[in-house]
Amino acid sequence: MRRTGIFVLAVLAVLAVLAVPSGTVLADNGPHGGYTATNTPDGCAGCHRAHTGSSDMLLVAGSTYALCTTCHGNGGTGANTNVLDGVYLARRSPGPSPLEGVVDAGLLAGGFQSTVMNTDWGTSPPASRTTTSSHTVDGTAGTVWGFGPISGSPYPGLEGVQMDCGNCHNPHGNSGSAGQATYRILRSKPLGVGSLGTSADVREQARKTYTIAYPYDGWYFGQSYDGYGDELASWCAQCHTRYLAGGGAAETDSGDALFTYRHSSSSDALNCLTCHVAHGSSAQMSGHADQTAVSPGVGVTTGTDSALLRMDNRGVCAQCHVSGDGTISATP
Amino acid sequence: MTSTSDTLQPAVTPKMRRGRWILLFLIAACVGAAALFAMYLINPKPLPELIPLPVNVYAEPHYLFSSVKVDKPVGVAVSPDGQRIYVAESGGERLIKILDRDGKVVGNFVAPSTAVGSRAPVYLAIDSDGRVFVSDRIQGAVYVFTADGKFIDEILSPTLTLTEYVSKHAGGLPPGTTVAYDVVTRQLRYTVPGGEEQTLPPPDEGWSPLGVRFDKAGNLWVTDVMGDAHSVRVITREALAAPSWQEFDSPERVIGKMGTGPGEFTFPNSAMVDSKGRLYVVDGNNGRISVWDEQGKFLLEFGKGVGESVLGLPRGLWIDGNDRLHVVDAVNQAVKVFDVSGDEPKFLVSLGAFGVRDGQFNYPNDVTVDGSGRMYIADRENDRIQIWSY
Repeated sequence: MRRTGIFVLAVLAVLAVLAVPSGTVLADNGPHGGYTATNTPDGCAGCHRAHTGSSDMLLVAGSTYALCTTCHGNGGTGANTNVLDGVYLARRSPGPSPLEGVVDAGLLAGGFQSTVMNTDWGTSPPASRTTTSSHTVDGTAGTVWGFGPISGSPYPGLEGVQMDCGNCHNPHGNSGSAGQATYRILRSKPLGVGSLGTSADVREQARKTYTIAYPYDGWYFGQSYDGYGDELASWCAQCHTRYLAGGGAAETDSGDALFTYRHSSSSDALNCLTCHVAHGSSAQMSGHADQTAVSPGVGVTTGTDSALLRMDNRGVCAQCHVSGDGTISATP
Repeated sequence: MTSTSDTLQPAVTPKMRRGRWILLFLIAACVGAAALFAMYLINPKPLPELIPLPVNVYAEPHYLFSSVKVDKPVGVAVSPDGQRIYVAESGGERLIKILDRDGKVVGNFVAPSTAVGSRAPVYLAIDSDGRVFVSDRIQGAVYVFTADGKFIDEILSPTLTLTEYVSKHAGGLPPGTTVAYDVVTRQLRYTVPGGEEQTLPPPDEGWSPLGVRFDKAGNLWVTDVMGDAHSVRVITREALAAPSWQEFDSPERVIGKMGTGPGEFTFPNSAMVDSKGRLYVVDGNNGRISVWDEQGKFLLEFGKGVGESVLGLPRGLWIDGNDRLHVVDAVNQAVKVFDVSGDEPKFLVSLGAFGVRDGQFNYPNDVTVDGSGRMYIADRENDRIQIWSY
């Protein structure tokens, strides 16, 4: 009798388990976000395959670059930030542009193929121009200039680093070292440069600003990054380690064989992005300015590479070091 | 008594009669095969295009061939007679290329007054007159060209064309007036015949057209990805058929709004009407297709769930004459086909897979089907248009 009761209970238990409605398996493949530790998102499957990925990062297909430009390419079929042309597309009518930026104005970071930058200090809206320098973004290998600690032996940087969008940005968001949101979903630590350095989180903006200001008043140079310019400098320096320098570095021997005396670049007011853009620039180089030390320590070459500068030639120098009467000074 | 002739005439036995029939059949088969061979020599096309076959029976389409290289194609359309393929390139010079039916380039054109980095042609639609309508994501306009690529006008909003805007400011627009407008430089210039170049401030109103498709009546359905108001808009047949667009008068009609809930859109990429008048909208970043009735009432959505019918990042859409809905899924590297002739969409097949070989895709973006059952797919990262056939 007792055995029969146990058997009946067991059967009922099994039936009860079977009767519990199982969670629906979803495949809601929308891009970016919506991920929590307590749900069962299948958004992952839109881009990844756990065991049969066709590309690195377990991507379902193709390259990271091809995936990102599906939305952020010049077709802009899934985003307003067209990073190839360096232009913002969030048109709004009638009335002013959206708060995040000016429609059809240049992105703060410039662009990878072309940009809308008034690199000549012009006051009218610039035309789109082909870039003259840009970060590697399509997965090809490049050199991370200035990478590594101060060294007495000439060492320009880390060669052969494959770079695409995912090296710097985390498409899943919440990419800070503590899982917090960051500026432009920047990783706390870029991929591809090993374990050098420490994490550098750049705080998320309360209100995003994607473009330069309008009307154009020449201020593509020195666009304001108030409050987090130094954080951005620290972030860039995770790869371009030896470019980061504090005040007085121009008069102090760093001990490095190549990066011996350096412009200061680590403050909120004066940092990497004061003079350079992150993605690409169409600044024009001519005369002495087209002589570029493409590879530190291996001599000067002539070319049109603009080193991601925000202004033509060495206009960025003049902004701080040339006064109104034409006097050149070592300090602004 | 038996006659002589009767005795000389051999008797036709059933075996002989059967042999004659077989011989006759073989001769007919040979003649038929020879005729087919001759037809193929004259016009080397697949059998379904040479011999009309019943199309109401669903047969899975198959890969035929690919076009010559085109640079990162994102949009594709076919002329009403099926003889011209129009392709919007997102790479290189960003041309709109004209291909012949065999996939060879026969011409190209671009939006006037634009630099490479300030134009982004995406989707195309061809009306019954052969006019080519091209959405441009950066310029925020639908450009209209003749079949040969001659610029006609620019639709700056559902209720405004470029010629209308200039005409109102210039007090008319005599024939021969040239107009040049680039939203990036914010320069709008025009020159009347014999006059000097004049400038105008850019218009205040605008939109962000993306997907463009005609319905059978000739209305143009446009997905609008304005910064804060993603929706579907309609340009009526009457407005498009007017002899002059200097008075462009299409009544405002807006379907849907921005969001993620039912009946809302996030980057709608394409919208098209089926034979029953129902509207299908590819809701790109929400990974689904929503369906609306003729009055603009939201009916249902599909593309979520499990299995092959699930949509990742759906892009271009095409509904053929048999109410077969074809939609490109960019991240799943496929064209998915649904039967939408009934009350509920029924998944039929997923075509293709990731790769670079024939019939494989690398981030496809658009699809269209012509009257002969040929399917054209913009295979973006493989730099080609793939041609399939039912």
